Amino acid sequence: MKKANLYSVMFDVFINIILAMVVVVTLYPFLHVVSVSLSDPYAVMQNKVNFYPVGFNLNAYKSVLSNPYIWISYKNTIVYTVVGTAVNLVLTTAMAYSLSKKYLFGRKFFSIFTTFTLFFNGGIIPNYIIISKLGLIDSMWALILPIAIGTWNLMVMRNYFEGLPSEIEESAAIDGCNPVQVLVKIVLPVSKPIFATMTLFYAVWHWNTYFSPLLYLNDKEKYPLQIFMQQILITGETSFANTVVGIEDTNLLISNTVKYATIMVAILPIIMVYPFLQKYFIKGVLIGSVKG
Amino acid sequence: MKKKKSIKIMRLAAIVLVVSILPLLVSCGYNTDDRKPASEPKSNQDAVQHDTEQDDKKISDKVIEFDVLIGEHVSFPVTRYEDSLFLQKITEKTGIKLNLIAVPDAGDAYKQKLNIMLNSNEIPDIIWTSKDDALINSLAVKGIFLSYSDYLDYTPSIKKLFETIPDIERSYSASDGKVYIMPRLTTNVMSEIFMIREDILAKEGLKEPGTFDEFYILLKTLKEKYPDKITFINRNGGEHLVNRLAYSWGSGYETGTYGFYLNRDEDKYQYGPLDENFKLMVEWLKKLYDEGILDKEYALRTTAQWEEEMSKGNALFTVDYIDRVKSINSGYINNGMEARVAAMNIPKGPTGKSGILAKSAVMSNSGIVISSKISDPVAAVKFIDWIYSDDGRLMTSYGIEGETFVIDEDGKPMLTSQMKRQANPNGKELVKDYGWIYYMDKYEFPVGYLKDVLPGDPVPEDDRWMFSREKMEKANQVIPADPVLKFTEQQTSELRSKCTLIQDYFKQNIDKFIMGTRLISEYDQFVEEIKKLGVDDVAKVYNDAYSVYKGN
Repeated sequence: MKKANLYSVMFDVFINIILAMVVVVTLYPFLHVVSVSLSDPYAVMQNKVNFYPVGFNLNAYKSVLSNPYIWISYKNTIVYTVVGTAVNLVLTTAMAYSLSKKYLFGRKFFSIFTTFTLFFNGGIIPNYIIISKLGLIDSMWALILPIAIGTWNLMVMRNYFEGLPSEIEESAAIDGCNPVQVLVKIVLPVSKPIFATMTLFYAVWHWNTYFSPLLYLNDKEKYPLQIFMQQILITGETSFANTVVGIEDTNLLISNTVKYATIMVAILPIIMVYPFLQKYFIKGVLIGSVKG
Repeated sequence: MKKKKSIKIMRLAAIVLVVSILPLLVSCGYNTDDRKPASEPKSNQDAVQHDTEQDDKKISDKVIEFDVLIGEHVSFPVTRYEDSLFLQKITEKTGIKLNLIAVPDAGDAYKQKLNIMLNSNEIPDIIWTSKDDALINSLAVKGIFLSYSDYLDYTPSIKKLFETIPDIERSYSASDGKVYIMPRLTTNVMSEIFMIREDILAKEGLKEPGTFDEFYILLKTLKEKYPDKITFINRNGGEHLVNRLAYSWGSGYETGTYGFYLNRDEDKYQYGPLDENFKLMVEWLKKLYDEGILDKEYALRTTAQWEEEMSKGNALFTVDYIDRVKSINSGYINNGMEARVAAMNIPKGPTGKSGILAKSAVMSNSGIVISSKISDPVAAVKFIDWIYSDDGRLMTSYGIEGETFVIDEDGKPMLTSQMKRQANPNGKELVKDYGWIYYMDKYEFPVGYLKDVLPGDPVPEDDRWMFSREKMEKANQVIPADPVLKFTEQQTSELRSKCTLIQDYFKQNIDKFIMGTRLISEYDQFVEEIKKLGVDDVAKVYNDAYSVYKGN
């Protein structure tokens, strides 16, 4: 008895040590970024900053926050994410629900048609020409409509709908519901987990998207946060290839403190929201995996 | 059941229809929105036109709009037209309104966007930064861009530049001999210098060396007196070292041409590492490495590590860009350190030469290109001509005359007293307060052309940057750059297939020789190995291109 106790105590201690190490390993980079963003740029250049800020000052944050474009691009990203995700959810649900019904005419054709896009696509330039001919250049819809339905998400959702018992729907139909009413009143209320997952997948996708806005948007006022971030973080990373041409003007270098402050400003909202979303995220990933 | 099925089909069809029509509807709405504000400023402009004194410079009485694709550096954000006095002033002066499409010039972003625009033939009116001159020229001969050569009657300033800087036509004309790219021009061509801790030389009473032998003795003395410090620090690897030292050693190694260089005595291109003097230089570097004078980690130091050691005062000598003199010294001053760096005269090599190659005055991949589909070609070339005229150069460099700068009695531009400078740190700024656009400036004036110290301002502390410049110029150690050559497509593919191999093989081996993992007695064998990779063929391509360059 005593022996077992000793073992379990040792086991707990051991586990706690390992977990503490994991915490240190994951927390240190974050702490480092915070410290650098709050330090004196010269101390950063001398590599004096590790755990805590050296020469504490808020100048980096002042310069980041006084840039009007961080707020504009923040707003843009939020708009694109909210509108984009809403469009995604409406269209994906509608299509997934239709495709989940075995009696749908041409079901196989539409399924193959959409699956095809998983493996083949036209490439960047034809896409650009299509977007341009549709008159979507420099419009937020260029970021939303081409990816209005994510094939993979569609399939996950279709599988989920297929797994719902058809009896419920039939009983609703007998009570006089038309298919749209069945979807809205019966199916959607029991599909909350898949919605949470899809919302997360799509929202993260919109939040992170960088290349399409770079291509399709021309007006700086419409750029999302990712372009702003890329611009600040990559600038000043001179490689020898650049210096050969003689482009190394020290005026053009950006201090690391400003870069790190930008990172902090950009990720803070996500960090604050993430713990609340995490439980859905884990659930959602499981949904995809259980039903193949 | 059948009926139910057909209803389903109808529904699906309706959804598909809505999805496909939606973009069209939406895009129409968006476009009209975009056009509205464009027409409004016109009336404003008409009102302004009456009080312009320089009506003769006007290109058009009616405001003409051009879409301009321009890179944007994050330190110099592009301001929207409504907030930019600078862009509005340009419209007032020339009658041209520029709608800037500002693309981040960070990483590959600008190039990616430009490439896709070019490939899909959706080209904006003007491309301000050509980025890939060879690609632009190959598209230009297919008629996609306007040729400046065809409009010389309208463009006196460009015509004059073609005469004074023949390299524009020699190096940048397309295969049909016409110029489609107006490059960026710079007078500040100095690249790197031998940078030494001036304070330590003075403290120890050491003299600047005249030859590389004396230089070795100097470095050895420093090593003995300061064993804890890095005597000779380097970044960007071994290739950087040989690149900057080879000229003085009577050879050459230009990274832009993969190690080939123009031998000025024989007036032909050759491959540096084959020279006997090149081998002598490698032996000298090896000696420095063996004795711990050359940083043991010279081949691997990153820019960040290099900055760290320099700013802590841990390094005594380096070869690097002259502009670094400013930033390193200002760090020392702000931290109350006594350390100072400045240029040292470059020692003479075995053939008596000394110097570092400059940058080319005509900068590649940064020129202005006009689409041939532009609404008003004459107005467009006239506008580009204005950029290169005296008036346009002043404005794109220093902003608005009378507001941000004035011309003093010597004819030199001078900051106005309201502008931000050392004596007036809270003054107005070109970018923030006037919406000045950094990359609009296509012509650099000579260094020190603008007076940024006004009468009554305190004289700044002794300026080691200027001192270093003058020292280099006085000693004639800024060597004119090798010419920019242009190649046919076939030549380009031959260079591409062979040069990367040669360069990679060289890079792998040069550090082995310096660090001693490969014996210097094997150098001749190494020469034979690298010759087999096609050195002679590549040299022929460069010499063919060079004779074309000279012939034009």
